[in-house]
Amino acid sequence: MSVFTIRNKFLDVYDPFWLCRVLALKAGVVAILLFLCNAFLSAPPSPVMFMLTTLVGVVGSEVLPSTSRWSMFGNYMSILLLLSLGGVFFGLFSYFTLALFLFIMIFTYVVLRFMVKSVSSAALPVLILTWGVMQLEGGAATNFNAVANNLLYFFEFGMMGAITIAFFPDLTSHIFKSAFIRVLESNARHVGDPNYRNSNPEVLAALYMMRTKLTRLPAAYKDLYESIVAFQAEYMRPHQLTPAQQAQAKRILNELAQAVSNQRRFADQQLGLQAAAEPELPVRSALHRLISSYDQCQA
Amino acid sequence: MPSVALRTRINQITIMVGVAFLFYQISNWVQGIWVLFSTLMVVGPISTFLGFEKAKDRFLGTAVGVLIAFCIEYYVYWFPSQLPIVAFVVAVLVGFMVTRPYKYFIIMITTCTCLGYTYMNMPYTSFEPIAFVVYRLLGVFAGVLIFLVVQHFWFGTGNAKLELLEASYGTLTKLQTTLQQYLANQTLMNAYQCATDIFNNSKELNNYVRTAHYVLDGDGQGELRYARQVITLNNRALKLLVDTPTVSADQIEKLLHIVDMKLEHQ
Repeated sequence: MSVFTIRNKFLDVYDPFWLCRVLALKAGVVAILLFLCNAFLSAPPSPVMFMLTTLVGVVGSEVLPSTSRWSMFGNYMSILLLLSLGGVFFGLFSYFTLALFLFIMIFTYVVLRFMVKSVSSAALPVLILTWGVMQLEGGAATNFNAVANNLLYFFEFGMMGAITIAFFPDLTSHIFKSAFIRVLESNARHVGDPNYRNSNPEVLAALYMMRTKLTRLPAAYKDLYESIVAFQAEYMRPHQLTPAQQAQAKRILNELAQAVSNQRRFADQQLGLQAAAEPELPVRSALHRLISSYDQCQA
Repeated sequence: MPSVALRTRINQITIMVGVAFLFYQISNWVQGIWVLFSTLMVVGPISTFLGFEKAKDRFLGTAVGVLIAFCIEYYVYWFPSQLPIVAFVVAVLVGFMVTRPYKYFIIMITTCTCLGYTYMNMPYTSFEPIAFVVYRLLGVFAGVLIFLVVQHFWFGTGNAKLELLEASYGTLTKLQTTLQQYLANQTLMNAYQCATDIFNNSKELNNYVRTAHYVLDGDGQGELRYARQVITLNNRALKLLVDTPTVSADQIEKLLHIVDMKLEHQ
């Protein structure tokens, strides 16, 4: 069991959709590059601010909706620019106590008033403000020469984030597959349970996660998503499964989840879906379509 | 155009930031910037309801974070060559916690900043930087206290009730739009798409209701009841859209009619 395995019994409890693991791996890579940059290139006496800005930019570009690596890069540059400029303005005013007080009040009001359209869009404006405030504690650039130096440091450390975004492997398929496994596991756990429904938050959250990641995945994943929806709809039909059918359904769902976790085609596992001795499942056609769509993604 | 409650809240936040800044400037506290920083972070979610929860999480998370930072600094004091490995592990954990609940994230970010400001580019490390963790804890405590005092004794709960009402109305309007979208295109895929949209749109209101006891405390029962009714309608829509193999358009239309009536009477 490695951290790259899609299914990890320990980590899945805390990170059901693999998103935290992607962010952790990215943070680890950018941290190494930042430490190397700090060790071998020119660095300010207190580089924490510049490092944190890069880290926030890299993590933020992954979390914000994006359709491609270029749009992710665009998000990263926007975050970096906004945070560094916010810091520069706070630094320039920090020399005058009264002017700083007035500036903070006006800046807070203007940023929140014009950038916050709803509660859910508040993260970035608040981040710009907090970054500006952080500049006040030592190392604030109070003249244009220092500002230029600071901007160059933002660029230098920011390059490490750009390198990370450019070369870090795209793990969106891991997030999609992890959400798919959550749906399969939930179905397998509730085989034969007449009260089990798709409106279960676990299933809905997984379906939502899969849908949001479709824009960054090949077309085969869209077919897979449609097959999952068709299967879930069919699964809601009252089936009255016999104990033998329940055991078979549970086994097939678990084996499919295992195939997804191992990133192998279900057909390659030589499993017993075709076993003649086993009773026929009522959801057989939807299950076949699901397996075939999944195998297409792995082809 | 931001809503009335949001505009009022932005004014309140601006005043709160001003109060915290004055406290920082007048008190001339060592590392007093953490007071201003903490107040800003606590009001960060903008919503009054989420602010109270964040205040609690920030204080407890910082306390745990500085404790961990203290232990790590003590360890690194005796094994300074281990610092790069420790820093890498902390960075990975910070990345892992970004999308986790705030109380977990703040534990790691506290550890990260304490280690960063203490060790980064220092030629050697005495044990004195431990003082940083104490200043940070005191600063966060003062910042959270400023938020609680100003919110409780100055701003009160009037705008919070309006926020809850507006969030309920907004969620109900989104439900109306989503149901209309489904009726315009009655396919299975669209039903699931609408269901996941409704599920996502109702998260904010669910969070408000979950944290309402921090703010309302027996007050604003009417607004709370209305919010719960909206959540019930959302849940009903979810059940109709995804709990049966085929979606009944008649029942969706009936539900849409109820939603329309509720919006008209608001």
